[in-house]
Amino acid sequence: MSELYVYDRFEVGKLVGSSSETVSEPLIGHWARLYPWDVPAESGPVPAGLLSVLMMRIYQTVLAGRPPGNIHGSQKFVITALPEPGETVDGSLRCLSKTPRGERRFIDFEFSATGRGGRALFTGVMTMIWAA
Amino acid sequence: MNTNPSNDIMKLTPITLQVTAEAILAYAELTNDYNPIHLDPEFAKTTAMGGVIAHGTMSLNLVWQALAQTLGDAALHHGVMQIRFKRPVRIGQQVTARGEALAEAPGDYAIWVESEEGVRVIEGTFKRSMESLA
Repeated sequence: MSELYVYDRFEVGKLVGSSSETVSEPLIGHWARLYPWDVPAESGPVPAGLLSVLMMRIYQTVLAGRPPGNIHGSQKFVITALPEPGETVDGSLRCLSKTPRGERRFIDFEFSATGRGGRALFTGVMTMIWAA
Repeated sequence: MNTNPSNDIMKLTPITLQVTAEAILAYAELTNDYNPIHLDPEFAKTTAMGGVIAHGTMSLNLVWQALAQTLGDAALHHGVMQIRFKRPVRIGQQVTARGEALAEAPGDYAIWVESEEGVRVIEGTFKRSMESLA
């Protein structure tokens, strides 16, 4: 088992890791079961909310082995384009800043995602309150 | 889906989700996020949240749906969303995404997700790019 990603392990400015997720039919089907009013068209871009899903899936893969109990504090998204069904999204996660506030430990992660042929899809900053 | 890219829509179409344990589990499966604060009542009780909370992005996704329903997908391109998760969402709550145009910034929206009691659990802004407003 790899070392746990505790707060002290993150280095500001450093790439934490990268991973990929494909906008597969099962993924879209799962989305549509949870949000049946937001079923994507057969062709064209997927619902924008799937960006959160893709980001969180890549985040889970890159940061496998986190302390339990982290909380999502805030989020910024900048969309350039929405992915299409079947497209593979490559995402990378960088530690942007670390800020202790009282007993709470805040970490800002910068997330960037590209799609087919390296086309820009979206970037984001997620602020997490780290549990340990 | 409404694809009207009009700049003068004042309010977003509200989108509502009933938060259940089943929905939280389905969202955990969708995102691979099995953080026990979302799924394990015993563990969640020991945290500052004091109990199970729903994934923040599960409710945030309703905002994207409200924006797309109202403004069309094209309006989201080059858009910037910035939000804060202000309060935890619990099992049994019904949450609704809403938004309204900012008078001081045409084309931009105040966005939020609120509980049935009108308490805001997510709050922020969505700023449309000049390209999407053209």
